[in-house]
Amino acid sequence: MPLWIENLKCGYTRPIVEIKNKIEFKEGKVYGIIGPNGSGKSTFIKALAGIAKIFEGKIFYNQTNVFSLSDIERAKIISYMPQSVFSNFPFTVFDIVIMGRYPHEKSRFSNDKESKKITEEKIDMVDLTPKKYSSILQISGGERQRTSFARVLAQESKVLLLDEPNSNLDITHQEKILNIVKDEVKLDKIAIIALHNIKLAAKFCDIVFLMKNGKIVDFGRPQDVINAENIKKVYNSEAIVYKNPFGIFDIELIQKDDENGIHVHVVAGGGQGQAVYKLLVEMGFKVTTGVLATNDTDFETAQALSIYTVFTRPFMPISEEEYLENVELIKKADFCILCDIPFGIQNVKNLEALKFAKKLFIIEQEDISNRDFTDGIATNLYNNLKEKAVVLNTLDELKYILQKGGEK
Amino acid sequence: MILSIILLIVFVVSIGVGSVFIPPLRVLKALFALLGFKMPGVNQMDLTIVGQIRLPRIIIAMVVGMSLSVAGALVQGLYRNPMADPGIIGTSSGASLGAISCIALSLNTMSIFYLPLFSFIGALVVSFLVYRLATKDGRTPILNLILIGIAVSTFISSINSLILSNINQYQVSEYIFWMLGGLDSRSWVHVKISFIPLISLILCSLFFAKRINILILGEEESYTIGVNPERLKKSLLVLVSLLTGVAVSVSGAISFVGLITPHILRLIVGSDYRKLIPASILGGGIFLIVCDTIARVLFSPVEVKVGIITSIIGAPYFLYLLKKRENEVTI
Repeated sequence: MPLWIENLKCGYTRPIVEIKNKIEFKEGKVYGIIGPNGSGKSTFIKALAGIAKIFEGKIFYNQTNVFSLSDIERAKIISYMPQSVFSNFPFTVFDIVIMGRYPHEKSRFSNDKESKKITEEKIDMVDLTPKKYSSILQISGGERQRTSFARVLAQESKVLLLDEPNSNLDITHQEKILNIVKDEVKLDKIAIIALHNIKLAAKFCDIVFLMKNGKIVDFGRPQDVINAENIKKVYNSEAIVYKNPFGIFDIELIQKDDENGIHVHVVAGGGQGQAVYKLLVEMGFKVTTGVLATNDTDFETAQALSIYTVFTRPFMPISEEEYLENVELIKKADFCILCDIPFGIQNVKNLEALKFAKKLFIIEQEDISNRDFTDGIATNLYNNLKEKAVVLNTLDELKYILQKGGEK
Repeated sequence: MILSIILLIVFVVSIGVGSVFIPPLRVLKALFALLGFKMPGVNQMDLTIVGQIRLPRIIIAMVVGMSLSVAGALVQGLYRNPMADPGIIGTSSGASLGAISCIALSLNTMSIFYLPLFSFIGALVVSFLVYRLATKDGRTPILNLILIGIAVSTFISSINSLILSNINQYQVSEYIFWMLGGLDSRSWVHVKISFIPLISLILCSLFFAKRINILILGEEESYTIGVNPERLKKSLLVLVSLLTGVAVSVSGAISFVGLITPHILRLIVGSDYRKLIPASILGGGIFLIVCDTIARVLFSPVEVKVGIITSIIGAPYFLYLLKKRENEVTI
């Protein structure tokens, strides 16, 4: 039974959020609402919860207008977790969580056994069992937020509306809460979450809505919606969107300096290049890189940053053609950077090519002998290069030198 | 619960205390005799003192204390503020307006029912006015309610002063007596008009306990849990104004009971209204009976108004709580 909205106009004293499309929220899916501060994420969530004023349009669940139902019937369908939790009264964690059971209980005074059991379970799920009988005035903000989340779980509604449920949480609980949400929707529920953390949205949501100024700019699968173009449009800042070494969608904002026309060529691989690429692009250099295999994470980063890349197929040695193209770039480059990467038969030719560099910086954190898998060929080439190169240990040193170079 | 035992003891002992002291056992005997049991050796004098003079007065003290204290607990839940007082919604100033109008028109001399009736009507009208003024588009924001409550109360007080400055000496002292809140010479007539409405209103408030808990969470949460905050606020306001209206009409304005009792009890039983309301019922009864007994015997044979005693005990204690509050987070 899906939840759907059409032509929704909602807000407080005047409409703030306007949604023209017909949107259907399907069961079993986690929906994320992302966007900058003030984009209307909370208002949208509140409108779905029936708290914000709806000026136009309706919200239907299973063909019934949600707000034509009685308060209790509606509460069985929709639950809501607000952004901040505030109270003056020293209720215990248990007291608060069991309040979520209200729509399911017959008695107007007492709590039934089932409610108590479910309450215990939900408190355990958010790791608050040791603080079950603590006053909510004496626990931390994060613990209060988890209490509020457990209360929403105890309500066992079909649709969960969560307004930044993890803004006060430590990293483990941020993800834990979203994992619980993922498990919840498996029971044919719908979760709609306003999140300010795009990375978490990309990791946990099936569908994301990108909002700006009360309008939905784009929506769809995170990998389709969260891209450099949309982020530029909505957040007004340059960003790279890539898969990090764990294969997880990641995003990095960059503050680009004006281009300075200096060409830098980078030899990298295995993820060692990411930070270097970002640094160089931010500093306004024209960056090229190669030769990289297409399955290398550095290849993806380079693509995301629109760095021109000489590439080769995975698990294949560098071909003559690719080698020559790389040499051309190295010759053209004002200077080259060799990252702290391991060498094998596939990429040893990159070392050979570097002898054509006008100027070379080597980033060395580990001795070459430890990352040479070519029986000494690489070590030999490396040491030759080292003689006329500047050897650096950290990225900060590189940054320092480049900044000085920029001044000259 | 311990509180109910204390209430019983206080009830019996306070009947015995007075210008003529009657030991608790004899009081019990007299009480049972009054209830129709055959009690051998009952002192006829005891029967008169207990039955005609002290019992009605103490019953009034008890139900008024209960009502004010429950009203206080409800208002504190309604305003989500443990420092709120039932007077905040305008009942007190309304009741005094009713009382003073009645006195100014000399209606109180015609029948003893007029004064309670007028103050009751005054309380209801003014609290309804506050509610209406604070409501916009079907919503009654708490902040509006507080500000408008204060504004209306101030306005009514100035009207009261206006009337007060235009009535004769005798009427002024009559009003001051009413305003101080006294339980002297309360008889079975007063018990008859107030007991059943107050007890039913008090029992009715238990029915709201669970929903008040949820309302305290916040109005948005409350709405999505299935408790409509607007509807609940309305019911609670009606309940509180009826409770205080009736109570004040028979006892005059007795201050601090509604503020202090639920506040102290919250420290003991916690914030759960399902415990707090029963505790406030019993605690309010105990508090007012004790205060009334002190009022009766302190400067005996001259009586002090019970409202003065509650303020003398209540105000310093309230200040102490406020001071203490600065040092800790709880309440």
